[in-house]
Amino acid sequence: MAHLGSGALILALILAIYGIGASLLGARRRIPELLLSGYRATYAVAFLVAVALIALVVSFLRHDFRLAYVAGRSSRDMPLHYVIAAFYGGQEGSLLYWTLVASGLGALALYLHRRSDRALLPYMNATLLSVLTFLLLVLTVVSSPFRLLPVTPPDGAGLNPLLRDPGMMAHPPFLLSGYASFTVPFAFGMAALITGRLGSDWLRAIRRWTLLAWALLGLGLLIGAWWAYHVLGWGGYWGWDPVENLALLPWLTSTAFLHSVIVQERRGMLKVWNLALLLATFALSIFGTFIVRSGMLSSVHAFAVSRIGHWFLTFLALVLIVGIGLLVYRLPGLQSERQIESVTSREAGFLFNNLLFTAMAFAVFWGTTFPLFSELFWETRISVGPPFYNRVVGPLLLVLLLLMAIGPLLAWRRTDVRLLLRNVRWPATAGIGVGLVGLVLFSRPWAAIAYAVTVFAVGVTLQEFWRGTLARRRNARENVLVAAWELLRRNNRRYGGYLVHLAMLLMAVGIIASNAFQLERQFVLRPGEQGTIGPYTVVYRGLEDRRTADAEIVAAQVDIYRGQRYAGTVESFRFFYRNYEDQPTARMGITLVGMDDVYVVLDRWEDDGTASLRVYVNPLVIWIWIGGVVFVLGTVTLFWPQPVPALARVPQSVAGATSEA
Amino acid sequence: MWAHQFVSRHSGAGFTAFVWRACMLLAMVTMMIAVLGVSAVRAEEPLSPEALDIANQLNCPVCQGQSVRDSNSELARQMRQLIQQKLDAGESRDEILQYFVERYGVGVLREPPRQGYLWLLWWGPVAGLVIGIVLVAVYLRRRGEPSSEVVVPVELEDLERVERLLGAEGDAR
Repeated sequence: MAHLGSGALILALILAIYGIGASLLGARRRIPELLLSGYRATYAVAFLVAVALIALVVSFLRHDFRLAYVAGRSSRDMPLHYVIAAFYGGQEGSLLYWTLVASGLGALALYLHRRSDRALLPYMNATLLSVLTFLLLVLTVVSSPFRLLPVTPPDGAGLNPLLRDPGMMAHPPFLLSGYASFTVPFAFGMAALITGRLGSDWLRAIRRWTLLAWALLGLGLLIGAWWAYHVLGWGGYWGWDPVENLALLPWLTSTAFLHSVIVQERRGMLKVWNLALLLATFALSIFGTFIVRSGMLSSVHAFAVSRIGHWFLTFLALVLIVGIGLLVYRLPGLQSERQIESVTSREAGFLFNNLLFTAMAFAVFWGTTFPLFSELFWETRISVGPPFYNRVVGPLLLVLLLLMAIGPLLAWRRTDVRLLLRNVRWPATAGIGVGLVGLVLFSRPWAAIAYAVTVFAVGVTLQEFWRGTLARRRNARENVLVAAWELLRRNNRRYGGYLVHLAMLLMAVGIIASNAFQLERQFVLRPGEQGTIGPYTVVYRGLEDRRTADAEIVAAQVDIYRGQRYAGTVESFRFFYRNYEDQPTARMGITLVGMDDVYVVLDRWEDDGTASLRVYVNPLVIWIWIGGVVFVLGTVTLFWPQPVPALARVPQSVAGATSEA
Repeated sequence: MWAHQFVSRHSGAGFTAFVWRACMLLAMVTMMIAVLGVSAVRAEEPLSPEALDIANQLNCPVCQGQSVRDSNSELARQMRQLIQQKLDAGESRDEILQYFVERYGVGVLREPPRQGYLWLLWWGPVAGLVIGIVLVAVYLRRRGEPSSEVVVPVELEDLERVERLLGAEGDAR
């Protein structure tokens, strides 16, 4: 299996290099056979990488501890699903997975676009294969997952305990595939720059691919938050850990791209900017992938440190130099077809959206990389923690929510302010009402303001749905439910986008509440003793020792009462995995009471059963996960195949008419 | 506690010298953990909310990216106790933080202080935002006269009527 795997990778590398040559030469000399051969090389690369990955998984399943990678990450006593999941538990395997996603999606894109985007494809293929060549080079030369050990150990070391959690079964694959999927839009963007075909073809070609990468990355981040909430035990879901931050960066820039690309489609503006965003997104994906491995930043993810950092740094520099160089070279061809006409227009709205997203990305980037510079230039170790990000990103998020409320009501070219005011009157009233009530009730004014803005944005979004539904009902004579369904189906880009907006707003409800109104208490309790936190009483029942095939488990059982009423029992766990006794992991005991999460952390304990417990009350966090579900629904809507175009196209220059977002 | 059982369960599994050596090492390490661990894994004195808050402002110096409040390391436990003791002795929050900065350097703070070159960190995002705003403003200022398409002023009532008629289907495609 090891020879099959490494052989497949070497063959893939050779084919990838051949494919670059074939595509470029074929495009240059206009030899269709050579071009076709280049595309087939990509298909073959994807196939061979898949073979290598399957070989790796089979090695894991057969406990083939001759392989250093398998011996280092699995053991015989691990449950089957973690044995399989272990293949991305380290750097070599996750890079192989990255390569598989990039090559697989790239091959799929080549196949799907083989008729529609002929002019772009050779260069798209060459770019794709260049990226793959780099990855395959790393996989064969520096960090091969198929390296053999001189002596075969009888059992492996087992997977890093942090990875042995259901959340970790999904978080890394989604995140990594999100990163890897940005290769496809990047390849199309480069092709557009190389060929000088900077019209709308390439934009149309990449819309879905960008959306796919963005959705995968977003989902990966969300699952990561869920995992952190259940495992890491600081009572939160987002710790502004450097690696999380770096994964957030391409998501922020691609969100900006997905918005501003609409301006280019509709109005032919912001061409340079869009390409720059695309380039930045891909570069940040590479950056995020490699920095996890470089050990340059201190992080909870730092278990996969290695020496391939400078390979990635070189590649990143290459990507940026070529990308920026091409962009500058094509500047004359990237003139806007029209100019912006008014500050109160949809275009300007998207522009502000991009400003905020980019500013946020920059702030996060700045905070995350600053410790590097601090050590380099001032020789001082510093750490930039959550307080910095909350202070810097918080206000930007608030303005972004406000823009999310107003944006959908802005018309292309210019908006009639009277009409705008008329459209916002009810949502604005609701928002201001909530804000006033909040100011009276809450001790934190910023939470009241944040809720006011959230309610305003929810109001506008729902109003847009409602008005669209009513219009359909009237014109198509459908009942309300059918009309709402048809509205989503036929205008999926616009209303799917609003669904995603709603998802973000639902998450905002949870995020604001858990930041502003979290309660925290620490208790040292003997079995049978109790403590109170807010309206809750926690009764500590005692510890239980358990054992599974691969771990010793300590479980603290805690009963939760709200007032006098029994609300449930939670168990907060500590796991001591074999070979990793010095790195105990945990799973929190969480129960939902009404809208509050009661969250119990087992910190320490003594032999007589006395335990120190930290208890949090996290209000409304459930809305973050509900928002996550809506996010998935919205994304699926965005992918929905579009029905046949409507017969009559409405002239676009009717100001104030509703328009696609 | 169960560390002992674990040793007996696994140390008999040696086949080769390599494995034997590994197992011996493992046994020694687990014994040490068992000996140290029983005394180390101890419940601590309850911390006041203020102590928890201060602990959350400090990085655990020996772990990756966890605060003193959240870490399970022995050092973090001692630091938590120390914070509580100092609070009980009447020291202020700033004095306590200062104490830890002197011992572990400024990197122990999760929120870097606003002083010296660290102002760069704090003002960087603001500078970025301002540059962004200026760029957008310049872009908007450049907007010239409306392009060839002529915009006819439309009455509000007409607009609303059009919007009503078009509804959401205005851009179905």
